[in-house]
Amino acid sequence: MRHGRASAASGFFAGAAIVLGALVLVSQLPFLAGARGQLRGTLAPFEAGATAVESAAGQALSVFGDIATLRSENRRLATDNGQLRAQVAALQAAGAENAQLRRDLQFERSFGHRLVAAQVIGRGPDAFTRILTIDRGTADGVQPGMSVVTGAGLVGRVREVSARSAAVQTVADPLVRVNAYLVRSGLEGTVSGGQGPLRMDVQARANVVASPGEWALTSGIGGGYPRGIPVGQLTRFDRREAATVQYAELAWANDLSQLAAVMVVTDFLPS
Amino acid sequence: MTTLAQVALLAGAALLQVTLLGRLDAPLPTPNLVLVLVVGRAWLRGGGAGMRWALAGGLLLDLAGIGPLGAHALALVCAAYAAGALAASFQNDARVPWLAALGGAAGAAVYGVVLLGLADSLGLAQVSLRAAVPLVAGGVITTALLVPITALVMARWAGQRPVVVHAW
Repeated sequence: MRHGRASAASGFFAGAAIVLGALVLVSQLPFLAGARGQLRGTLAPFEAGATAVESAAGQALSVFGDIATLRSENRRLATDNGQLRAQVAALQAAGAENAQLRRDLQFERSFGHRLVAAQVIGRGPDAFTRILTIDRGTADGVQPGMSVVTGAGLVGRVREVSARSAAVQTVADPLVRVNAYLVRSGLEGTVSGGQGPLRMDVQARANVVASPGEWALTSGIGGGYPRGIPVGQLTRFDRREAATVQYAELAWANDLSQLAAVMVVTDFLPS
Repeated sequence: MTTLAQVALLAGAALLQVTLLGRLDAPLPTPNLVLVLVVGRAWLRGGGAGMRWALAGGLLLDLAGIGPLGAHALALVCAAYAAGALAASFQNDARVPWLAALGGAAGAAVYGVVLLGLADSLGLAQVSLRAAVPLVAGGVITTALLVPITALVMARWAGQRPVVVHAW
């Protein structure tokens, strides 16, 4: 009996593996990219709804957080009421948002590219891919390959698009490579993501050493990204004598867990 | 649990995964809630039941991710099969609830290896061993920690003793 059940489970496994394997192979065919993006777009409204609920819950929790933090002060300020605390929390959130929007606006003016603002409505489903889902798609002029930035620097690149949403593969994704250069030393290399800080494989040059604090900007080499977008700040540089490639670590200019709004560069497509 | 409740549970887990959990800044890698549920199900109800959840939950995750459709579903089906096979070998063992951690670790390892293997073999990425090991190991730890608790809750919810059901 048990043997029969094991055979049934093995049969189910074999069948599912064959069907799913075929689906994996078929769905990655280039001419199906559009259909794949549209299919993925069906989940976007649910993600947007869940993000809105999460945001509302976060605001409510921030009020409780304020209550806990200010408990001792509340003894002195007994006249303070819940409405005031809620207002303070809301103003703090609005202030932070204003600061980011002001920074983004300043960035847009100085950046020199056409940008479309987007809200982050979802994130990657696993630890292996660091992606974001944004609420802009082909209807807003967003196309696969376009760079995504914030006022702080490079976020990543649009991978798949539906009419009203797009998936952005971030720089922190272990599968992404970005060509960059260090501003002071002029050393060039390739930045890759993964667990922890960004890694940069730097092409060594005789008597040139990079120092912590240097900024890495996109080099534009390879035509994947516009030149000059900040990627991260150098935190560690391992110089190995006689090695052609030096290892460096960067603190990413953005924080994936904090990203709520981004901008898509709509007038630059990879060559 | 009705079919509708099962679908709602998996859809809720997938939505939580791609919204709230992605924002957590925890010291350990973010757990994959769908993987935890699938492995918990396979541990309690056998590989067949786990694989059915893996199909549904995996396709939902595929819709939220990038790359080819079916990759998460395939990786989850493999994880459920491995966890179910392991659970069957521990039938009638009194330590079963805590051995579920073993099922979680095995399921997460299989899931990670299959996903990264697919990305590598399809030419979507060049996955180095140095990058892959910490990613898979992180998933193994968080899943191994969460599966026993999930299996206990699922067993209580279903009004069962937390032992392996002979459904393999």
